[in-house]
Amino acid sequence: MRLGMVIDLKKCVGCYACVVKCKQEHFLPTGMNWRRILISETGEYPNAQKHVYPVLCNHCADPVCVSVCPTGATKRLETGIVVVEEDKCVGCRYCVVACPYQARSYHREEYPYFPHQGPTAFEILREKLYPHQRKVVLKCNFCIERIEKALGQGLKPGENYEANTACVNICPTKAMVFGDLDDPDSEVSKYIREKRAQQLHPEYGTDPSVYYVIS
Amino acid sequence: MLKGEIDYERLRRERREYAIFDREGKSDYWAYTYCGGCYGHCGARVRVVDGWPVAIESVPESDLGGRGGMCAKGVSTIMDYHDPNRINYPVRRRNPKKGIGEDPNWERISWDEALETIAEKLIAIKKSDPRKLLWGFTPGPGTAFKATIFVGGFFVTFGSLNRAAGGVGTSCGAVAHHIGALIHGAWDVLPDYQYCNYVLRCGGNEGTAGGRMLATALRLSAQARDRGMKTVVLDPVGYLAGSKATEWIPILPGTDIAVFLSMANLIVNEIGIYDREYLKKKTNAPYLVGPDQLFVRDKETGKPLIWDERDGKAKTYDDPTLQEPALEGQYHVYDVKVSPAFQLLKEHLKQYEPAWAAAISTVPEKTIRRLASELVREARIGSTIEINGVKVPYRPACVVGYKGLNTHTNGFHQYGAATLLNTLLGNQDVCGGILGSGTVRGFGHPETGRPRFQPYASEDGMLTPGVWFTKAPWPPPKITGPGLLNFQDIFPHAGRNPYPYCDDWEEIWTKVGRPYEPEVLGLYGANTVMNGGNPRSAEAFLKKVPFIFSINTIHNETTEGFADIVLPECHFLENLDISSSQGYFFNYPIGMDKWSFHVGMPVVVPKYERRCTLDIFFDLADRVSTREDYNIFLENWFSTKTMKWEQNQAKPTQYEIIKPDERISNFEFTDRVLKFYFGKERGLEWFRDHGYITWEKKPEECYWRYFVDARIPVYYEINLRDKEEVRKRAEKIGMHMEWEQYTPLLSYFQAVMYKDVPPDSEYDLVAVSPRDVLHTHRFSAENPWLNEMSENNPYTYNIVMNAETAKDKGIDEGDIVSLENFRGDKIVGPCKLSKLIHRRVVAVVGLGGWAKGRPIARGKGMNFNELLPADCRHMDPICGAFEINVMVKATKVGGRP
Repeated sequence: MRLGMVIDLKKCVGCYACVVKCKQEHFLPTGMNWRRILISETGEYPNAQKHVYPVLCNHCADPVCVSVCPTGATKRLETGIVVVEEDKCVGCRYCVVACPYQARSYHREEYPYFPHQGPTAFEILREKLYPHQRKVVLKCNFCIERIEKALGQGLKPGENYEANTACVNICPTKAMVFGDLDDPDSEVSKYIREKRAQQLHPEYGTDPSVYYVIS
Repeated sequence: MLKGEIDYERLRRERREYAIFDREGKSDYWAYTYCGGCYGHCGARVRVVDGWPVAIESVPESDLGGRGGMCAKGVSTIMDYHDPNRINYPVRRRNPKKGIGEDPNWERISWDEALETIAEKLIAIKKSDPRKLLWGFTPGPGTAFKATIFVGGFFVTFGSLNRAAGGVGTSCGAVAHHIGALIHGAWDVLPDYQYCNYVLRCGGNEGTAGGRMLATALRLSAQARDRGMKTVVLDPVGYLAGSKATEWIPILPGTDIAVFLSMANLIVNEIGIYDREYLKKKTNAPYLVGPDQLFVRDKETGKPLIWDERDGKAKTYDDPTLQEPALEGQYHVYDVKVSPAFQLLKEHLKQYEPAWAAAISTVPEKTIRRLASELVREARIGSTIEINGVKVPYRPACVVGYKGLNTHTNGFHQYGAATLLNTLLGNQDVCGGILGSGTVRGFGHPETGRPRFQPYASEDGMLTPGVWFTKAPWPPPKITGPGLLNFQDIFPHAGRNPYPYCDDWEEIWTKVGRPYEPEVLGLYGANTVMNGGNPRSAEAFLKKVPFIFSINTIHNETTEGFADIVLPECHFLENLDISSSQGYFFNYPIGMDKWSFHVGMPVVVPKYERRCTLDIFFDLADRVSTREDYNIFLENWFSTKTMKWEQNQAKPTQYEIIKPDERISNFEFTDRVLKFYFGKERGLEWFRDHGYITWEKKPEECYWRYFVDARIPVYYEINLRDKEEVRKRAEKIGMHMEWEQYTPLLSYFQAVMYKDVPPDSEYDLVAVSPRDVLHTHRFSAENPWLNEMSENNPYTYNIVMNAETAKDKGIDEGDIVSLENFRGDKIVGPCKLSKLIHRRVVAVVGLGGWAKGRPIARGKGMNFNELLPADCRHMDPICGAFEINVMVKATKVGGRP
């Protein structure tokens, strides 16, 4: 199995739902986002274009981050998900520098969402539901807990709602499809073929598992 | 009740009732409600852990929203709930001084003391003159958007029509809603995304940023785009809807009117292809007009007449023998020369040449001609399609727009001209075209036939909405007054306007004779001083009102600066609110999407002393003795007997939900409404467990045009009929406005910002304020997640200027720039250079808070409204639309920090 995603830029409007939902799902601290929206403009007025690229960890098949990690904290699982085992990470940040997609974040400290007003109940519940260690590197994990639970129940990523990542489910334009890239009949594989989706910067040589339909 | 006694029993009863939402102490569960992030009201499900909401998404199986998807604003509402600045108890102001930036020095008081204080004030003015009560509403973070039904019902039955826009109303749909009512029987319109092939989108960003039906529109427009629907965006700003368009055409703000009128000219007088059958059968285009420009009316019945070409004589519009309505020609009726209105329109349009429109709008003439041909070609006039076995006209092209079209002093004619294009195509409320959204026509659930509503024909055979909120748009109300603080009594077609928050209000009210003074202002969720118009103009009025009470989830610039008592309302995640499901607004599935009736229900029991909206108003109505009338209003509305303000307190003969003397709670009321609509087994407990109810839509419901016998205006005779009376009354009190606009044929008028300064003025840029995808009004600026996103979005917190224009002015990316209008009003902020904005336009999202109670919002972005002059010169004379653009000069005041 190789889990991956396609993002259709013709549908995406850059509404930031995926960025915020990921923050919500994983109780991310202030200032940390595992998804980002890159926005730029090209061309000349009035024939200019706006480019909106939602980016995240590409869960590369040949990940640079894994090869540079001195402790083995970063590794690629059988599902294709590239994870960071927080217990093993010493926060050297070699991977942050090495990742050509700038997909990783160093978790230095946590500040309350409402400065000087203490943590909200949401932030307190983070410790129970989704705690993050400090001084480690964090990144998108393709909602691994959700996916592993769903796979355990025999559900299929891309076909069943519970077997999708939170960001894919929350997208209101349905711009994303998730699933097994190794299965040529999966929705994601078909979408990539039919719409001729591409990887970003394939010349980096890491073989990303996130594809883009570029309009 | 004796003053000082606390009605603990009432509070306890409310809490006991809400216990069914406690989920028997489960520590981790999902619960249904709706999303209160914007007017879209997507159906939602929320995860609750240890009694706290932690996650929200929409309902994958429901057509109300993103089918599981939701925009960032909706997802972020969880953090509004957790905001430590939430108001938890009633508070009273200790600092008697009022003004922008004043510290209110709140002290906590009991509900009983708060409501008794308010009731005392209200009872006193009810005895002397209920008009002394001014009121307004707009949602705040988590405030129920449509509880305006509860709010409006209370104040209207109290006896005051002095409604002033609490916030959003001044820069919203003053014209769009009014014309929406007359043309579609609806508050708003959307393209029929499932079948439309071509959209000309002007001055509105729904589908990319506009928030009235955001996630639903996002989902449907993305599907349409994927299917190959072409969108041409005609807008000064190109980085919103323009960025997803097939083509973006920059245009000077407020000049679309010239483009539309010239396109109508081309369609009617050059291309010659338009839906004549639609004009004959469904509009007043064939109504005969006399030399005085008024309709010639049947002497017996007073009804307008149509010339029947088959029989060669004039007949009333509803004559069953009418066969061939004439659209052109000259005839004689009652010895008077008459012509069909359409003949006059054709002649009138000839003056609007594309070259002329190009010079005004900066849209090239070739482009205007091309757009007209494209629309006509794509509309496939004359074609039909079968949907679920029902044959309906098929017109897969439309023109759509919103704020950017209608919030101008020429808004009526501009928005009207866009609508005229749709009328010529015959695409209104038919498959593929432009659909009225919301409660237009519905047969109700198949098992019960409820709730049921539909538009109908009234005076002159004209379309009348079955459901409406604020003053009825048709039949036209009598012109009375002046006597209202908002002067809406002398403006019969204005359901909202910026008064009394205008610089000239004081002077005008004195000329009215000051029949009374405003003594109480009741606000619901509103942030009037920020949103009402110009903050300084609003401040001047607000300081004068002796007593202001407000119902909010969180403090804002208005409560801190001006409120005497603030009551803590439930956030939508704790609110039991049937108004969120039923009524006049946008939150209904569009086109052939299934009906999906969600209910606002507490996912957690309300904490502290927060109370649900209807509970607050029931309590207040009891104390001021208007409960009977209030019950009747709610009975009429929710039973769908009369879903309008103008109920005249018609006492029904049968009470189906609530009797006048019943003192039931919000809980009981909601349960009864649901059972009335969907059957005895489907009350609150059923909805708690199932979340919503859904059923298939019939084509006759969403494509209702040819199933309802009513006509729409092409010729606005009412403008001429009203002109002298409005002009006389307004001029007498010093309101000098462009009365030429009271003309029956849609005509070119220049938006006032271009008249405020000479053509070669140093104030050479038009400042506009588009909606950002990350924000709903200004309240969302308090949300820390949305703030983080805004800090990373290049457009949200910045002044956006054309890159070439900036270079000419010596302004670089990131420089600190001042925008100053011709009065010296200024805002200052960092500048983002863009290639996707008209060369003569600057854009600023309306934000910029200063309240202590909204610490995240403080200092974020700029308050665009500081730049806007607020007076009658800057108001559309027909519908009261506030001119939302202004000429400014841009000066660099600092380098990039």
